[in-house]
Amino acid sequence: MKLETNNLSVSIRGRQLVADASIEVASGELVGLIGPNGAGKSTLLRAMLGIRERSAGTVTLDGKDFLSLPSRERAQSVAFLPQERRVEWRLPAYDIVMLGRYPHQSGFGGPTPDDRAAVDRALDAVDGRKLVDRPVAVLSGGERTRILLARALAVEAPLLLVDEPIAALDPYHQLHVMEILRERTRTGVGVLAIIHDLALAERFMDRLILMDGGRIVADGTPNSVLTPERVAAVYRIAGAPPSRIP
Amino acid sequence: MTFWRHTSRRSAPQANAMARVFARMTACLGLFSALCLTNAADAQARPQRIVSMNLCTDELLMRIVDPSRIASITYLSQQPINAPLGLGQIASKLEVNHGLAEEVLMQEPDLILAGRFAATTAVSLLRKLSYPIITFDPELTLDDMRANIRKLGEAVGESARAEQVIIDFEARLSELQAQIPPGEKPVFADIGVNNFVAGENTLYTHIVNAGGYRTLGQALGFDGFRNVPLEEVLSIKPALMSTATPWTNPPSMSTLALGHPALREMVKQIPQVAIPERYTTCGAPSALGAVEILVNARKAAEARQ
Amino acid sequence: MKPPLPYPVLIIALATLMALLAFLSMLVGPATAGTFELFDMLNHGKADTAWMIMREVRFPRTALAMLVGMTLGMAGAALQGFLRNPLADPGIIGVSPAASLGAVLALYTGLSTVMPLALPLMGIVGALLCALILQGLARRGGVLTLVLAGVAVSSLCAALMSMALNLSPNPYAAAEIMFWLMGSVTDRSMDHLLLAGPLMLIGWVMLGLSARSLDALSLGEEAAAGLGLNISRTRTLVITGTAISVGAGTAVTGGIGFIGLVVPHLLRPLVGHTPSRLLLASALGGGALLLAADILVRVLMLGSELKLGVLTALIGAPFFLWLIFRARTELES
Repeated sequence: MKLETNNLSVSIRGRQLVADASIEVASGELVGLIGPNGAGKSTLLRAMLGIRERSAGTVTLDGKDFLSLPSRERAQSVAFLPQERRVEWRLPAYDIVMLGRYPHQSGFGGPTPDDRAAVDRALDAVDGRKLVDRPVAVLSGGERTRILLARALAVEAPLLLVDEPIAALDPYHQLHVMEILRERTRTGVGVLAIIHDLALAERFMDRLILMDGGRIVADGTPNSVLTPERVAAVYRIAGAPPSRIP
Repeated sequence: MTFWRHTSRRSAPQANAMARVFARMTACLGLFSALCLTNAADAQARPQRIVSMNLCTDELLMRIVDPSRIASITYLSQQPINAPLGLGQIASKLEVNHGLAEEVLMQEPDLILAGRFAATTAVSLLRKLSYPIITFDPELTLDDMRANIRKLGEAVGESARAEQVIIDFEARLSELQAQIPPGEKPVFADIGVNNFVAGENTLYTHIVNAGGYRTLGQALGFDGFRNVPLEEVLSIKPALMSTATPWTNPPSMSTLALGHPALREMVKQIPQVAIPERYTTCGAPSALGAVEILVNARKAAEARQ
Repeated sequence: MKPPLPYPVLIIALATLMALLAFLSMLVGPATAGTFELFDMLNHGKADTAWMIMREVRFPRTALAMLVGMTLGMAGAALQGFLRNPLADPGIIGVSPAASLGAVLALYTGLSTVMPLALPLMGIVGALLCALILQGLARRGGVLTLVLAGVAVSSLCAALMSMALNLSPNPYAAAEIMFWLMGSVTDRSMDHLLLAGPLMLIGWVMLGLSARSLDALSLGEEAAAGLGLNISRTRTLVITGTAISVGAGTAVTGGIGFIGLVVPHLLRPLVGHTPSRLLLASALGGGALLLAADILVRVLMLGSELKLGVLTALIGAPFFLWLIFRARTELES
């Protein structure tokens, strides 16, 4: 399964937020979308999902027009984990993860055994079984991120788009979450994640896409993308590229 | 002036209702006499169980119709401050209603009198259930009063008595008005509830005019009811002012003046009267009470000169 | 953190409570026409009148109190779920003031004396106009736009109603308007029930269809969209459903508040905080609460008849303050 954009552009009131972006993410690969603040990464992600209006270009899933599919089908094929960590209402963690089954449910029936099994699998993947009964509102940052990630995993979609999975997490939890994502790709899921930590990006990602000023500046292996000159130019910082952590 | 609301209050005990039921049963079943037959025949010609759901129709009804034919009046008429002129005794012996459809239904009326602006949901419900209802518009002039009295007289089959009430009213009114000294009408200052002041074309003004005075609103030159800032009153020099009666709540000119230094001087110099609001609420013979008070004030002022 | 009662048990308990209160409401009447008097009539051959009272006066009153209470509870829960704010209330989107304005205009122009049903009909027209305005404004904006639009509509309607009172030709008309606005189900007839009932049912269906979407919205609009939620369809269902049902109810009873605010708040912990389940629970709870209030109005018998809307505000506002006080730490999290 492959999600592909072709010359995707997003502009609002004359301002170009994303210009001619052509990227792809396929099953089994862990792709990082990197770039400085304001480069248009989040906007690109949302335009790909159809949450944000695009002004030009196409998005295709295995060659077929993705955005014209009914929203339910889109949700079943591509899961989305936004940056928003706030959950309204004191819902227990289990119910939150069960919301991930929304694209598969219909009508007024409750959760099916399939749904419950999927939720259990998702909870196992994030090691969150112990958290199920606690309200999400009282969980710590790391715990909450894992539960919300489980929610996205419970969709069991072949592709997963994530916006900043490791923001505001301590190093232990950052590594843990990256490992969960990598593990996921080994089961065949394709993951595209917006990420700021260049060291982790380099270590975990199969491929990096670098954005700057709304344009795709580089797309390839971490080695080829993270050259010192390019990092300095795009991020406007000087110095050696991030050291390679074995 | 005042405007009333339909309110609930504990009224006659349940025993009254039951006693009445038993009395009627015994009367008809036990006696089986001409009394029943005549009642039946009369009922077709004249209503026998009249319910009044309006303070003003209460009064007209009590003046025109024998108490035995009145099923109920509003509970307001039994309150001392709302007693119609000279009818306090009669009112105290009657059943009451609080403007609720359920109560009225249980009183089994064959005619219902209602005002246009009160208890409208109850009235439309009763109308829907096919009870005969006659609506009376609030009286604006004394002519309206005569018209309403005649309308009521016809509805209850007492046209003769209705005419008599009108004749008595005219007689007493002429008698009072003859005592008014000649000359231009001086101003009577009375501010009512919510600072409403009555101007031209209101019942209140017509009654005050009949008593030999002009109202504040006439002096200020407007129609209908308006809120008047106290400062405007300063420009007028009234000859007479109103006093709060001990049992009424709303402020009157003199109580208001106590708070306003500019008016305090005026209050000290101007004679005052207390007119129970009930006398000016309805276009009905009770208005004569207000007329009398005002005429006496004119005579007193004349005597002082 | 399991709720204390399983959901089906809670629903049955609430439904039973509501049914009991409805039964009680049919038995209660004003002091001179209460339960005893009614049985008295049945025993003394005046059964016709007694049945007429039950059928034409008490039944519409009870049914309206129940249906309007259910509407307010359900709409309150739906709005709180959609706006993701526990302080939302059906009045927040301006539907109740708009319905009240329509009714007040009917009173002010005297249309209601010519045709009694003009009053609720104009109230319904007011509510639907408000819904149209909201739909138009909300299309481009999000939740904040909607709430602000509701506030604007409310303010405008309140201003126009104040103007009607201000310019009222006589104190009697002004008093009538004032008392209608306080909210009541006294002496409503079967006509009122037949006019408002079907509209309330239509509104309920629309609100019910939005139930699952409200659950997804707990994660925020973007995550919900990513799950396949059609936000504009949800918004249409919630706004229009509220406007039709609450509008029809207000058009017949006048302004009754706090039910839509307090009932969902009370019941939320009992349904495990799930927005979709809160809809039905709040409907039943709202019906029960308004029935209880209406019984209290008839039983209390203070100097003047206490209007239903006044009673719900008198009890609801301090109670709501107490709820907020108790939950203040939670609200901040």
